Amino acid sequence: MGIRKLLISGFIQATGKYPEHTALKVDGADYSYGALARLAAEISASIKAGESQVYPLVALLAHRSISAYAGALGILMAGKGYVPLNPNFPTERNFNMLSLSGCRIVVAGKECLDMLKTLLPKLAVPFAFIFPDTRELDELRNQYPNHLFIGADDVAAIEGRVSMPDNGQESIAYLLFTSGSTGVPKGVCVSNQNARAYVDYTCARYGCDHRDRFSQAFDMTFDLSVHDLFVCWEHGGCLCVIPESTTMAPAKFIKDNKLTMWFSVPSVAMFMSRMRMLKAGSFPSLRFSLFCGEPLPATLAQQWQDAAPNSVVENLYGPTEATIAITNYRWNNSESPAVCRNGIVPIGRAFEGQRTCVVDQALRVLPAGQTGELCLGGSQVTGGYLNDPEKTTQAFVRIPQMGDGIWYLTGDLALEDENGYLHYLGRIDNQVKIRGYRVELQEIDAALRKASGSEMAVCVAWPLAGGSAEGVVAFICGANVKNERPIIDYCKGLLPPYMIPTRVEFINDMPLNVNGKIDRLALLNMLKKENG
Amino acid sequence: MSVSETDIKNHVVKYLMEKLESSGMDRYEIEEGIDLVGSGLISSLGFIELLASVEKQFDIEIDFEDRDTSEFTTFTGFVKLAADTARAKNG
Repeated sequence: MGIRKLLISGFIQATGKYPEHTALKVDGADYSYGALARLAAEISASIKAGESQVYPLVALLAHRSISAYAGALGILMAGKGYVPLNPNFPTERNFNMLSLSGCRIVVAGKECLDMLKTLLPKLAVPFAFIFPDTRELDELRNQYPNHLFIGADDVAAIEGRVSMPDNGQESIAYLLFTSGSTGVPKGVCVSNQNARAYVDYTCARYGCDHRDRFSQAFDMTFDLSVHDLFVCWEHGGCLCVIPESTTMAPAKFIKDNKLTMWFSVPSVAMFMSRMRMLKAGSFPSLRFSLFCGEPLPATLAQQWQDAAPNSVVENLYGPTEATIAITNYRWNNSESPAVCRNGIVPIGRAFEGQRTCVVDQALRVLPAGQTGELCLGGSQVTGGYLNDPEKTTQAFVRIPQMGDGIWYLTGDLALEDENGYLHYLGRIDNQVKIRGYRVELQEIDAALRKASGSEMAVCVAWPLAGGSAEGVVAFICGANVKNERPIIDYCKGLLPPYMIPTRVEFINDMPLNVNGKIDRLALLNMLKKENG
Repeated sequence: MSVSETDIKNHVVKYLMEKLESSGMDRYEIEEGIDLVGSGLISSLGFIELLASVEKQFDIEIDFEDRDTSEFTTFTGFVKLAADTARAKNG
């Protein structure tokens, strides 16, 4: 029997070893491992006190605040998995995620009180809300007597002990929702074992230790944030949370905080490049620069390498269903440009211990050089979608030629080149990446149809840059209302910010393909023509 | 030709008005202190487009290198930075 390790194990060990070391810099304050662990233990004890029925998941409605980080740790310390919500998402979406998750306890930060107030009237069953940083809750208590509100004073009064929970490795560490084509987001269950496989591999590869200073750029609803938190805390590093207002182009933040580990979507690097922030030698403190979430243009990798001359630049790839990232490619200024295809950096090879293969529609394995669907196998492949056996069986399959084990069908097109490097070539379906976020275009179409009252309403990802999209443009034909504002406002009430169309085109004829379906490619070509 | 802060302010307001007109946004929403990106008035991509427009119009290259994003995404901050750049260039 091996030693039971959970996602939180590293943090607990680091707390024993470096209690005085800074674990977290957020909102202008520094928190030592000892202080953060104590708060997490109090939250953990509050969860157990507030629990009327044992349930394996607890929601987290907190954003770039002490409550967000201590909350995630406290939930894990209670032996539960955390379900991040997002105050920048519409109420409806947070409500959907909360309902689908089945959670009855929410850890909330004061920065999310406004969002919570819009959620509360929708909740039909009693909840317990834990506020590690809010005292004035009487107004909520009076207005919603069926819910339990545990404030900062109650949390502080509870005796919490920093300790390893006794849940098994197969239990859920976090549940994250991805865009679903039918409009209902899918909850991906990532187990402690899945997450451990990622953290163990990653810490060893980058030789992380207590002197490292990690960027924290990703929202917690994006699974790449799990890397930031738990790879950092595994060996006593310092997590530097980028303030919301700075996330667009945080060049100064990297310098001021002397970061050693950088992780972001390529879009952030692209903004920095356009703002002339990527000058040669700008970021000498960085040891590693990791990019993931969308295609990485070779020119950008090169620019970043020059700006961060002491860092190793890597391109990572992986869907939430296979835990954070599962392939990588190490950039090299002299050799890599020749390996790139269409100016895009390869996604490389599977992490040691994980597996990939490329298959055709009949799940037959294709040889190198042929384009097919990328499939992922190994200990990072998750158990599938929460309460959705049908979608789970569709996406998690057996591939007879590859022997035992479950493979995740990514829906991504890829090919392996003569060097054994995988190249990402786009999506099989209508899923796109917008600034790194996975988006099913049909989900936006559904909102556009409701907003316009027209069945002929679709969107395309536009503008396209470096193999990924920066936004969405909507096309509507035969709408009653031909005004952009109400349609965009409607979408804002339903969809997260990155899914809101940047503009709406009202057209007289909708282009159709031979099957009579709306021809997105023709719409895309209209936009291309318009831009010369 | 010397460029004044007012020239730049007028250009930015005109640019934003044209951009936002089709979406029915009112002029009063463009206030001096507003954070152009943070308020959702324009996206981060929209900000890059605004930047390109100002740089082209006044033939300047703004250096953001050592600045905090929150310093230059406000209407006032952006106009001031552009004006400082133009002044430095034209002496």
